[in-house]
Amino acid sequence: MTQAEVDDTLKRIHEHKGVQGYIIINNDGIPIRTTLDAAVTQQYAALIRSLTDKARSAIREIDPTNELVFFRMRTRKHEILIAPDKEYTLIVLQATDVQ
Amino acid sequence: MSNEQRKAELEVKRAKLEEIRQKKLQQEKLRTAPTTPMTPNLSSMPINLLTTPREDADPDRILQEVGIRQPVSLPASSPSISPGSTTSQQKRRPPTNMALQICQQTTATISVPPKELVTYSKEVQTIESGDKDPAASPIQHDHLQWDDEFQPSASGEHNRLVYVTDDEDTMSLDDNTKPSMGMSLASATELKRTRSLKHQNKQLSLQGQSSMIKQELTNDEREHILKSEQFQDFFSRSSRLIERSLWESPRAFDIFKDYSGRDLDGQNEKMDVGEIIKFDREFFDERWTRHRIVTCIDTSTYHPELVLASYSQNDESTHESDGVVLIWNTKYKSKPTPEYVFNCQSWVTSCVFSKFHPNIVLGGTYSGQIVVWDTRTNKRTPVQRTALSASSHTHPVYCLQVIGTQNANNLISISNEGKMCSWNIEMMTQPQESMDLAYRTKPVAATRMVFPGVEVNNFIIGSEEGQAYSGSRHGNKAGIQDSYEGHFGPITGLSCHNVNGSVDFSSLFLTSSFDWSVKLWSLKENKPLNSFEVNSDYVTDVRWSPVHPSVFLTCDITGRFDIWNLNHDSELPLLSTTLDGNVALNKCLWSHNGQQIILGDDQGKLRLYDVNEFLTNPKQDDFNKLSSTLQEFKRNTLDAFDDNHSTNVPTTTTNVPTTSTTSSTSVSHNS
Repeated sequence: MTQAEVDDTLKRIHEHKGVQGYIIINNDGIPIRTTLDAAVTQQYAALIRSLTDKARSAIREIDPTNELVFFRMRTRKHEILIAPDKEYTLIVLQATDVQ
Repeated sequence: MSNEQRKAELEVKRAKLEEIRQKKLQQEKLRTAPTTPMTPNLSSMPINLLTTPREDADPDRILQEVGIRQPVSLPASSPSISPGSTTSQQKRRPPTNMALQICQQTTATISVPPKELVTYSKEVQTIESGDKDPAASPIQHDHLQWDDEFQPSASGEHNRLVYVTDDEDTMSLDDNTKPSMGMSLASATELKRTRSLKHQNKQLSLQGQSSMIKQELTNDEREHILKSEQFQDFFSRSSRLIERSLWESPRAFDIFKDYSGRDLDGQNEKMDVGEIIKFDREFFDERWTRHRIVTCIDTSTYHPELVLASYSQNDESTHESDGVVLIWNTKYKSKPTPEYVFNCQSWVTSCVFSKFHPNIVLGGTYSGQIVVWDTRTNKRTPVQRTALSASSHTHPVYCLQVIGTQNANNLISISNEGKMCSWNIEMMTQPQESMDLAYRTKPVAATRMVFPGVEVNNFIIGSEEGQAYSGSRHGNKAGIQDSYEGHFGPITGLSCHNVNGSVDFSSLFLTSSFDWSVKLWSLKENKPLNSFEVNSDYVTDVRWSPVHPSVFLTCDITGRFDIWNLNHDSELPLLSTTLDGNVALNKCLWSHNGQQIILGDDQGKLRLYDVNEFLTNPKQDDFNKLSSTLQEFKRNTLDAFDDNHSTNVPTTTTNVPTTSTTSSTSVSHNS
């Protein structure tokens, strides 16, 4: 995927109905790319990062051969889709009251 | 972990204590034994005690042998031996009432530091909200230093969160002893003792110094990361996941509604009984398929929801790669983007999933190269390419087919110059064997090739001149054997009957051609059994249904596609639909279960239609009906010959079994 296609795909994701924004963070919890404002981004980045680590370690402890692949949290207001990876994590926020 | 270690340490200490106690006992005995009145028993013992090694001297046994004369000084010295220890194995000896001998005794002082009771709970212990500096970012806490210098008193708070962050490299699958969770500080130091931390210590202390400063990445760093290959890999994986779940979620929201009794399958309405086909969806990608013609379609045997389509080159935009092959997923109903995109240098004329490798996609190109793509890699370019040499193809490869079995499979390719090559998919540098197809010394310009059923040797070929040929790869008569003449234009579609049923129709095949007709043939006869001429333009493809013996599909260049049912009517199609707009259909395909048809057009769109049930579930008598229909065809051809060649009465009015010879003789008479 080239840079343009990455942009394209991100744009497509962002324009999907209900999507409020996305954040790409690296493993230190530092946001690389985001469509939300800085304060919210920082918050999400750090909290989601720690939550992902916790979830990942929980899965590994239950079964060492298993690993966390995708993570979806549905709350009253949003759905948070998290795709964690070894170096980076993609977080997408989607509103739940869309249909 | 630490429990066991604690236990081990305790054991070691107990053993040491025992040893020391024993040593003292021996010393006692040594000293006191000579002073007490010697009994016959005793006389032997001290010598024994002196001479025998001490290790196997059981204190109890010695005492009993010696009698209760031994002063037992243990109770007095026990407090000093095990101060506060939790040993419950302290042996209690019966107190003696011997004359107490006061003697010098050096007590070995052993001090065991108090055992720390380490506890930590596995929940995250968060910092009280009141303490948090609103301006500080939560990230700061990731980089708190903790090593020997970091005393609990320094921070002043015992429950400050200490993150033990793992080094990325060490986070391996089988290392499940490094939980990265918040712990109390006391346990953090304990943990430090139990883990090898030189690596992490260094890293953490480094980070601790620089973390406070670097909260963000500079723009340059960001760009750099975004361009890096790791990021691209990660992004292609995770964006696929996210897109799939995004496009699925509208339906999944329903499960959170409060009322019950909702119908999650409301979207899959059943077709009306009278409706034969129903439009399902179309696949089109703005970037990759616009202005390109669909050149080949295939569905995967491993994952029936995957559809493979290859496209011609894009004349409008020359900077895009010429060869595009996309894999679409029919499972995710609303996802509009392809699962996989593959590119290559010259446009792809035919593509096929490898039947025996779930991740391999093969394509034949206009330049004669055959390329192999692998879905496991994240690359879009082929992982293997055949060489452009005289031993392989130099003309467009119009047909590819994988034949054989799981263990012995080959890829057969045929190109426009009449060369048929067989390849081993693992090694594509050279064909395993190649054959030049020629019929009566004239090379065959092949446009279509089919191996009927599970055949590996016999095949049928359609050519540009309009003849179909049958031949075999190996054997006595390797090469083309029979020719089937009837079409006046290039053969565009060739399909072999492939339904297993009570009657075997595997010798039937259909051809479609630029001469506006579709013809039904049998392998045993040189003349077509029947000709279907309802089209008024080039017919571009024809396909038998994989499940129903008498159903087939044709499509032509006016955008019209027909579904025929020979048992219903052999003159007219069951259903004839023309697509709106100025669209020409190039390829058609049935899905493996025969329940869907896929049509590819010249504008890069793939259309999927659901087919009514009665066309996918053949009844038992459909096979018999087809046999009788075929008989009817034969009778019709005979009648036609009768009318045309009334002079050849003796040869044509013979029985059915010998029609093959008679019809060929009448052909030669004719020409």
